[in-house]
Amino acid sequence: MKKYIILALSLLTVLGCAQFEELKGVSEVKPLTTGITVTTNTVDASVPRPDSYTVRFINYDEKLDISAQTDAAGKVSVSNLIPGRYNVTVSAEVAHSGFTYYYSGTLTNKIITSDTSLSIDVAASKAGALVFKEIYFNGSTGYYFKDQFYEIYNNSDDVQYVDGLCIGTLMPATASTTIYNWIVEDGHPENYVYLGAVWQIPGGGTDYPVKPGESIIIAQGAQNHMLIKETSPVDLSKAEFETFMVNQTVNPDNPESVNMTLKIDFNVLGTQWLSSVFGCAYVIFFPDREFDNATWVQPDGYTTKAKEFPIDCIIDAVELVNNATKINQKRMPTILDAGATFTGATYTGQSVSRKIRSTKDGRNLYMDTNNSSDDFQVNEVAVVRRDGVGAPSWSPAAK
Amino acid sequence: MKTNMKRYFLISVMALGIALSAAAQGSTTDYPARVELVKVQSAWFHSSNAAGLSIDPLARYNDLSFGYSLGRGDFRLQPEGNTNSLDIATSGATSLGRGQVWGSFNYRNLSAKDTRFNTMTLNLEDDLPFIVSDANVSPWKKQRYDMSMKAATPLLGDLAALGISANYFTESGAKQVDPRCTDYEYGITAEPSVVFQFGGHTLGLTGTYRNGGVREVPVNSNSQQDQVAYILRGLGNYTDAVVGSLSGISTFYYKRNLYGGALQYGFGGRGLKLLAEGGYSYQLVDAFQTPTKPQRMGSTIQQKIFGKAQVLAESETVLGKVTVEGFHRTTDGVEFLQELGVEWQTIDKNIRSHYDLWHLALGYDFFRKGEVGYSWMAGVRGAYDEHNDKYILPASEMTYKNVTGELYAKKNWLIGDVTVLAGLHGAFRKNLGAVYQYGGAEPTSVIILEFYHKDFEYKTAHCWKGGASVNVAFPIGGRTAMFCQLEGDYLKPLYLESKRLFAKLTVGFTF
Repeated sequence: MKKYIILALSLLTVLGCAQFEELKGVSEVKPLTTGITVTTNTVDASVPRPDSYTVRFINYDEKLDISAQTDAAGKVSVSNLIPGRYNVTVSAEVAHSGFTYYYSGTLTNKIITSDTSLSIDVAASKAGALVFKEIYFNGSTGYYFKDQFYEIYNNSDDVQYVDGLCIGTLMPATASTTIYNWIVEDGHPENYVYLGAVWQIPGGGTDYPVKPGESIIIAQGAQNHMLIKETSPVDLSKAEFETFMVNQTVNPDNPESVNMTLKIDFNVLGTQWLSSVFGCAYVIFFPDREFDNATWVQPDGYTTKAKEFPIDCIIDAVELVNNATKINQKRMPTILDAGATFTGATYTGQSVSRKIRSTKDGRNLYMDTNNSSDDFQVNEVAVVRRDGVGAPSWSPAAK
Repeated sequence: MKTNMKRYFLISVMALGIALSAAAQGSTTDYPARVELVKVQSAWFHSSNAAGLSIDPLARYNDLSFGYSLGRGDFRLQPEGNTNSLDIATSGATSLGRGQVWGSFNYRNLSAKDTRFNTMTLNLEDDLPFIVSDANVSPWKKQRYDMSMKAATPLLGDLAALGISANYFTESGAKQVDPRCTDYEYGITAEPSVVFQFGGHTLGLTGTYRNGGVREVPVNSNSQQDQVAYILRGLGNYTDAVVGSLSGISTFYYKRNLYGGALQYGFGGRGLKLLAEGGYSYQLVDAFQTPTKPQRMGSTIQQKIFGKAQVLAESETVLGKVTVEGFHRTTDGVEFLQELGVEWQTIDKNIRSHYDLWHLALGYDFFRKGEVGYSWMAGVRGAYDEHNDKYILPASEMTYKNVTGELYAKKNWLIGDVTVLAGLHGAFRKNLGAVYQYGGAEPTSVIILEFYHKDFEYKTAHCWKGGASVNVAFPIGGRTAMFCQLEGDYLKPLYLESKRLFAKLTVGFTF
């Protein structure tokens, strides 16, 4: 017994010494200063430049959000930063010839531990016409998830046709500490998003017009879920589209709702399209190529499969994570979504929806700054076509 | 290992008890007042140096008690709650050959209701900020075993004696409302010591090593509802978290190591004892999350210098004791910037917070000796505490100074062979200044408004405390006395509506 006690105390003493060694020389934290230079190397010369850019340093761990305006040369120095992990975003908008141009650039998860200088190249894009307006992904009490839906809104001044529009989810399906380093042929993985599931709206090109201020609903299952599960907050029986899985009989088909086509299925969906109740990263896009399920890409060291699509194709993107602690685990390129939104809980009937920016001719214009941390709000209850938004004339909801 | 250690300690304590009981046969009755006086009379017993018992032995005693106590009222730290506890305690001292031994064993089963803002921590420490908090009101259940011993060799060659003090405790507990946890904590302290005697003068040296560990496992009963939690970092700064789902916080665990040492000087002669002690300790506590992929949640580096002096003057009829003690404890809170690869790698680390505490206390106790220990005693005690806590970036500050004065007295009546020991005490705490300035990002959060501000109110309130106790003891054979003791305390702040009541009923034996 005595020798065991002596041995244990000796071992604990040695381990204790190692523990002390790890903190040797640690010093007191000091505020840091970082210089920013904004460049527009990839923006066409014909696009007007803003007078200045807004630079934001966001540290989610510290709840630190410091903004500064650059000078005309695109330079600014930001002080009082705490050492840590930052998303640095640059944004500006310029109205010109009836269009609004959004400038944006981002450095994601940039570690800043000393005074430094950073350069950020920004890209310019016109405001997106179709946007995610509401996403109800986290299901309702009783582990019910078949009432998930996605509302897509025409935020522009022109009629948009959703024929051929695709909705997809990025891999990994749930925000994770695992970092995927995707391997692509051209050696530029930063130029793509990596999709595990893609559904496409059918149509000949002009079958499904959506007027300004109207929206469409994509339902996992176009049913009145309030009748199926009393805790569900939504009736989706009038949804324009549903992600109906063929070759299964578990979930019924609603003949009034147009069935979308499953184009990519690396998630191996089974009987329904269950997108993670913990929050997926969603994109909508018009594909620039034919779908080919026979090829895929994989991250270095992992067997996960995904299809790569250029970020230039993406019309709108929203990063959804479980809660605030997961924002640093973004999957979405920050050029598409510099932030993330979340409900913080599962199976609560909550949804996220885009905030109203302004109204024009009696219709809502929704915020679309490519930063869902700013653009989205959390709703206690999911609502189909919130804010009195209209349905297209061809929709079952309009009949 | 854990079970074996517990078993060995229990066996040791039981063996000691049996040995002492055997020694007790056929002697006069030991009443509670005598046991109380015995503990006061040994100055070295109240030092960290067990070897000193060879010079200043604790007189033989034993006690065993069963207590039930409760604490009610809102004038308290919110994590404390309203408490009910069952305590079993035993201790004893005797000579083994020419050596000296002392041992104790304590068991506590505690139920707390209406606790708030402590999700996973069994024992909160004011200089260990890296804990998890939540705003739900919840009960807690805790159970603790605590075992201590001191042993000293005889004075070898009339020059030196060796000694050892040790403590081992284990504690388990669980929070009862989502977000819940199940916890386990242990601590081992070993203090080898030596004394050298030169005439009436004594020099002592103690080394201290402490090792501890905590494991806290979060869980929700309702797996459909994630629970909001806050990973605290100091003075109200926190990181958002949840308990539940794939992204919920994982097992927290803590590692503690402490090294320390102390020097003592003692003098004894003709009814006078003097003992002065000064020491230093260096402690490091590391907080981690997820044992299979350890992520650092913070560390504290604590340094402490302490001093204590006791002067005892004793005659056949009276005993007077002056005690002066104080310490300065300074703790740095270190936070880590980590990145996950195959494992969490530290990219940067900084001291982000400081916790500074000065404590000074001065006390005087007087005992008029009597037939059964003492006939009456009175005492006065004053204390000064100064906290200076800072979070460096974003700058936050919590400072407060309190001075406390306390008076107490007991009278011991012998009626036939029954003793009635009754006591009264009163104390007043005056706050000499307090500032809490939060400079972080969430000044309107529940953590700041409900937790930190309200607990700060408690820590800095002027308040008084009054209480009484009565102990009735009677012999039941041999040296053994059985006693029943009732204690009550009432705590009331001057300018707040809240109050606090403590009560305890104890039944026990001294022998």
